[in-house]
Amino acid sequence: MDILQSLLQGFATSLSFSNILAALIGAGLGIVIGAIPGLGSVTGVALLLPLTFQMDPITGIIMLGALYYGCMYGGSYSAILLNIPGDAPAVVTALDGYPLSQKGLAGKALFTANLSSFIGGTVGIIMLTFLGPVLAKVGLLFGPAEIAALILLALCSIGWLLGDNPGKGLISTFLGILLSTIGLGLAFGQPRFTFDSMYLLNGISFIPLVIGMFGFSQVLDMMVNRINTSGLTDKLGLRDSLLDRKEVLRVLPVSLRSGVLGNLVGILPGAGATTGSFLAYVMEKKVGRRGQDLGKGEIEGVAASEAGNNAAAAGSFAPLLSLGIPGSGTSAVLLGGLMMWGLQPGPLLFQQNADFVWGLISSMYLGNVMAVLAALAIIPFLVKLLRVPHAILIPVIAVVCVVGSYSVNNSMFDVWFMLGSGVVAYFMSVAKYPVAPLLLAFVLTPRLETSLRQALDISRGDPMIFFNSPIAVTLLSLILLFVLYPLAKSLFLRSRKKSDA
Amino acid sequence: MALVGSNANAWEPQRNIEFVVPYSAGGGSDLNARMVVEAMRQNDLVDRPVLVNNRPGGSGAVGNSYVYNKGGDSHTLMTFNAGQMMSTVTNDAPVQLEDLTPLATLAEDTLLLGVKADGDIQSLEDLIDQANSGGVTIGGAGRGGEDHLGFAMLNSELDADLQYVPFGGTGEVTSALLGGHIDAAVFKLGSQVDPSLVRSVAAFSDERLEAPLDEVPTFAELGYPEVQLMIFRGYAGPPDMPAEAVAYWEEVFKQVSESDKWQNDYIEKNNLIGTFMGAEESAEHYRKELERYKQKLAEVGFVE
Repeated sequence: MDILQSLLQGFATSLSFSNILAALIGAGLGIVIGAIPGLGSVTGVALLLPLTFQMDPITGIIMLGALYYGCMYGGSYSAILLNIPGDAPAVVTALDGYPLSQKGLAGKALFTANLSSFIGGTVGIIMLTFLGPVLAKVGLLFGPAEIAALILLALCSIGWLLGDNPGKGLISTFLGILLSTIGLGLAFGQPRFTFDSMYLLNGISFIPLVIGMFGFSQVLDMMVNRINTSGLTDKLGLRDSLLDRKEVLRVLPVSLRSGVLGNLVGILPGAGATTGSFLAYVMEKKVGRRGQDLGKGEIEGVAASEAGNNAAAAGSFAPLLSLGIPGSGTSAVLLGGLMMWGLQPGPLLFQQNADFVWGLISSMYLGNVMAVLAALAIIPFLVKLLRVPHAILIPVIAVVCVVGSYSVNNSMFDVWFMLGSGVVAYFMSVAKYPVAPLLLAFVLTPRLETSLRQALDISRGDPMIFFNSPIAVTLLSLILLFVLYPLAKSLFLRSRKKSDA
Repeated sequence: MALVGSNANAWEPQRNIEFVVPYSAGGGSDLNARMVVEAMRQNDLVDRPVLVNNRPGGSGAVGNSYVYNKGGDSHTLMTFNAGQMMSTVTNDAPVQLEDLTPLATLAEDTLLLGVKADGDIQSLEDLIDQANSGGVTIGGAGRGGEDHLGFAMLNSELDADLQYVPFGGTGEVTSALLGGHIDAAVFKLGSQVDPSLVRSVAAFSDERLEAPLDEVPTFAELGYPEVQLMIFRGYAGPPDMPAEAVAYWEEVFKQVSESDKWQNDYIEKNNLIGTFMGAEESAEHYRKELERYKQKLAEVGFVE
C-alpha cells in the first residue's frame, strides 16, 4: 500500500487553497482555449508556462495540468455545437456530437462529453498511479515497426467505417493521404508538391484545414440552406441536459473500456491522442451494442471519443514522469517546464522529488474535478449559442474561422487556404462525401510514413521486420480480421445482389 | 537618457522593437527570445518595449524572408541558430546567410553519442566493432538538422557501416534506444537525457564538457578531430542594418549575456554552454560553419 500512502501524501500537498484556486483558473482558461479553434493545449501550455515560473513548482504544474485537461474538454464543445473541432481528437467527437446537437440534444451531448472525459481521464490517472512505470516500459516494446502496424490499423478503419457509402469514404481517405504528403517528407527530407512555395515547405497546417473543412463549409451551408434550428431549441436548460439513469448506464461501460484503450495508446511513443480517441471509436463501432448507429448521433460515439482522448492525455504522462520521455506535443512543452523548475524527469524523479511527483499525480485528480465543475457551470450558457439567430451567428463564425486560422502561424496564406478548403468541403458534403475521413487520414498518414520509413531504415530495407515482431504481427492480423474481411464480405454480398437482380 | 555607451551620436531605438522568432511559440528559439526580452527588461537595457513575433514555417524560411524584407530597419531582430542556417542550405531557401546581418552569439549547444546504459555497447570501440560485424543503426531528431549533420561527420570519419534513422524528436529517439530498436543515438547536450538510462560514449564538443559529463571523452581525444560540432544560438537583423544600430544591439546582447537572469535561468537550466561573440566575430563564425555544413552534408549525399 506504498502507492496509496504516497498518493495521500500527495493530496496533502496539493489540496491547499492556492492550489485549488490555481487548478480552477487553469481549468477555466483551458476550456476557453480549447474551445477556440486554432488554439490548442500545446499553445495554451506554452503561453502559460512563463507565468508559472514565479510560482511554487507544485502550484505551477497543477495549473498547467488543469489547463491541459480543460483544453481537452473545451475542444469538444465547439465540435458538438458548431461542428468546428477545436483540436484533432475532437474531429472524432464531432462525428456523433454534431448530429446530436442538430437533433436538439446539444445539452445531452455536452454533458456526455464531460462525463466520459471525466471517467476516461480518471481511468487514465488511476492506471498511471498504479501501473505508470510498468506501462512506460511496455510502451518501449513498441518500436517503429509496431507503431507503423498500429497506425495502419487505424488508417484502414477510417474510410469504410465512417459515412454510409464505403466507396466515398475511401475516396475521402485517399484525398487526406494525398494532402498529407505535401511538404518536406521526414523520409527523404525532400520537398514534395510544394510548387516552390516556402509556405508549403512544412506541409499544410492542420488547424486552417480543419477550420475550413468543418467551420467555413458550415458557414456556406447555413447561407445556402438556411437551416432553421429555432424549433429545436426548446430543451436547452440544465435539467434537460442532464442524462437520465438509463443514459448514464449507456455511457458508463463505453467510457470505461475506451478509457483503458485510450490510456494504453497514449503511453506509446508518438501515437497521440487522436489515434487514442479514434481507435476507441472504432472499437465501439465493432463491439458496442449500438455500434451500427454510430455516426448518426449516438451518445456512445461522443463517449468513446472523449473518454479515449482524455485517457490518452493522462497516458502520455507515464513515459514523461518515469522515463523523461514526452509522449505528446503538450507533454514535451511540460518537460521544458519541469527542467525550468530545476527538476530532472526520469526514473530518479520518483526517488528524488517524490513529493513533487505525487503532488502532480494527485493534482490530476484535482484538475479533472475542477474541469468538470467549470464545464458544468458553462454548459447552460454554451447551449444558448444555438438560439442566436443565423443572421448574427454566420458572420460571427466566419470571423472566428478567419482569426483562428490566421493566429496559428500569423500567416495570410493560412487564411486563404482555410477559405479554399471550406469551399472544397462544401461541395464534398453536397455530393455526400464525408469530410472526417479526409482529416483523420491527414493526421495519421505522416505518422505511418515516418514509422514505416524508420522501420525500413533499421532493417535496411528488409520488410521482414514487420513479421518478426509478435506485436506487429498481431496488429496486422487485426487489420485482416476486422477491416479487410468485412469489407470483402460486403462487396461480395453487394455484387451478388446485383447479379441476382 | 542613453543607457548604453556615452556617445551622444550613438543610435537609440525610437519605437517598439520587433523580435522575430521563425519558429512556433513554446519551441527552443521562442524560449530563447523570451528569456532575452526578460533579461533586457529586468536590467533596463532597452528603452522601448521589445515584442516577440512568431513567424514559423518553412523550417525558418518564412521568418528569414520576413526579416529580409525589412532591409535597412534598425528595429527588427531575429533569433538565428545553426539549424535555421542549415535548412537554408538543405532547402535551397530564397534568403541565405549573406542576406542577413549577424548581431551576436550568446550560447552554444553540442552533441553527444549515446547508447543504452545497460546494453552491450559500452564504448565507441564496441560500437565500431559491432558496426563492422553487422552494421549499426543510429537515431537522431529530424533529417537535415544538427543531429543528422553529426551523423554525417561520424559516417565520413569512422569508416564503419552506419545507418541513420530520423525520428520526430528527442523523446521518440530515447524511446527507440531504450526499447532496443536502434543501437545508438545522437543527442543534443541541451536535451538533458537521463544518464542512468543513456550512456554517452563520446562528445562532439571542442573540449571536455563540465561535470557530470566530464568523464565523456571528446571525439578529438579518441582520434577523430574532424568529428566536432558546436551548435550556435545567435541573433541577426535585416540586411543593411546601419552600423550604429549594429553596435547598439551588440552592446545590449553583451549585457544580456552577462546578466544573472541569462546565466542562471537560461544557460544553466538548459544545460547550454555560455559564450559571447560580437557582430563581426559571429558573421565570420557563421560563414566558416556554413562551408563546413555544406561539405559534410554533401558527403552523405544530402545536398549537392
